Amino acid sequence: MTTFHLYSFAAMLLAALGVYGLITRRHLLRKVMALNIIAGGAFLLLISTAYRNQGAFPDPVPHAMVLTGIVVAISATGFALALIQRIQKQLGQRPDQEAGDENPDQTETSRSGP
Amino acid sequence: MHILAVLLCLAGAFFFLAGTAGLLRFPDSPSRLHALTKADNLGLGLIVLALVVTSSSLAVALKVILVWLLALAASTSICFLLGQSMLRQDQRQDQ
Amino acid sequence: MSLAPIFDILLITALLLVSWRLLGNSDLFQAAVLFISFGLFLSLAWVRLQAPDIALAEAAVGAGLTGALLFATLKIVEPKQGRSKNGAQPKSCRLDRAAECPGRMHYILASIFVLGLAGLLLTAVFSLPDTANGLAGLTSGFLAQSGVEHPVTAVLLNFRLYDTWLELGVLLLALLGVLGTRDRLGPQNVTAAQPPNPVLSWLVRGLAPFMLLATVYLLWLGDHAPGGAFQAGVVLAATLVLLWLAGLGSVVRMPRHAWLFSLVAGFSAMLVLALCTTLAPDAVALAYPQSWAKALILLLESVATISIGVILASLTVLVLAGEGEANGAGAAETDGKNGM
Repeated sequence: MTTFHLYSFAAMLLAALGVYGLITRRHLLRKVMALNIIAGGAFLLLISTAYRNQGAFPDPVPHAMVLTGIVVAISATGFALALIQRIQKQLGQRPDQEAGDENPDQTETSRSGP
Repeated sequence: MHILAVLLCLAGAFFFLAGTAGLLRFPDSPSRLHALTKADNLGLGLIVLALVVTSSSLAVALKVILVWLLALAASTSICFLLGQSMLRQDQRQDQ
Repeated sequence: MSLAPIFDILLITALLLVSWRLLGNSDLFQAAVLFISFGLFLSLAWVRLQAPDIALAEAAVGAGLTGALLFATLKIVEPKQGRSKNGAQPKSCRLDRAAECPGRMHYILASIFVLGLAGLLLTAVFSLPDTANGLAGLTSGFLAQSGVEHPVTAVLLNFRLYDTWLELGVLLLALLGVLGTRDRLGPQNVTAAQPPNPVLSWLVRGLAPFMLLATVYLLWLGDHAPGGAFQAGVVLAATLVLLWLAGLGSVVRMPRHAWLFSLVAGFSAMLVLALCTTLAPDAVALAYPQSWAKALILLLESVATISIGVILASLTVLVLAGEGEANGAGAAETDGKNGM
């Protein structure tokens, strides 16, 4: 079990957790956090593959890609949060009810509300 | 020199531990804040001291000390801001 | 060195536990706090995996900007669920009792899908060779020709310049998207966070010169050590956001044309380079003339830093300020909270 295996295993678990959270959590804010966890897992996987020569001279290309990725992830998060604010304003309801599809009655009543 | 640095680091880690224990165990927000800022500033100071002892050059040592001073300024102000915000919330609840 | 695996296991456990709790617990405020600590643990992992460039950026982004964005949105979307415990608690779902869990199938299908995905990832990861140099050899071979001495900067600003270029484009698009969700355009209409608190403005006044110095230092450092346009840009963005929070002028007080110019400067500088190198007779598109490489890289990096900083700061300020008068009470409360 090398350091590479340890961290890439952790990255895989993080990505899996993130995907599960993205599917099952209903609050949009939580979905954004889940997306960020998936991103964290992907970044960790890339960086752990760059570490495969045990840190003698880590591969700089994945480093550069993750660096761009982090900045893209924060801008995407900002955009997603702005969209959530807009959804909230437009529908006038809590964003976790928006994402629900298994309880149509509730969604309809709250939509006809304010 | 090395042993001194290790001892300082351990002492710093102890204060961090104490501060964290206080954060978890103290009953109300002001005393939690008290535990967090006091113990952690001291812990950070000790760890910075350990780094200064082991640092290779004067420039590195000065940079580390500068980091400590900035962290002190930030944590002091943040402590004040949090305290003020708590006070305002209490007043709002009293009304 | 025998302590390293213990540290690895502790760090990975912390990462997994934090992300598990942050997706699982019912309090969104706690989740946001956990998200910040997730970012900090990740930056520890970057340091451990010898990626100091990424650790620098992650510490500023994960702990600083993302936290501010999440808290601000939380206050606007769930005004009641602050530090108090009176937020609506979603009822817990137990898979063994169908009545409590209307979307039972949903959870089971999600679990199956995620397990399959994890299995695929696992086989992919463990089929990779244990040791590999990747492109490290190739990069270090051409490092001398790139104009800089730090391999990550060489990749970002020379070998894969189009990545950086298009990334600036993505940032611009994200900002356009955020602007598109509001009724009024531009951060010029956003009021400063109020009321200005003397201690906060003292702190920010004291810290801002240091942060600007750190921006320039990081930018300069990128030439031969971990640092560069991205880290510098993120620190610049954090400075601008702090200035706004303290009620001191920031992106909101910039003249409109200066603001627009800083937004597009990075992208258009690279566009100009691309045009020149495409039209020049004996040049490869987006490749520098070798003798000019260092100067051009420094110029592009400086411009990119300003663009990244201003775009990210505008984006954050817009999200932090919320919808202004449209969402009157909620937004005002957030501003007050941030101002404190």
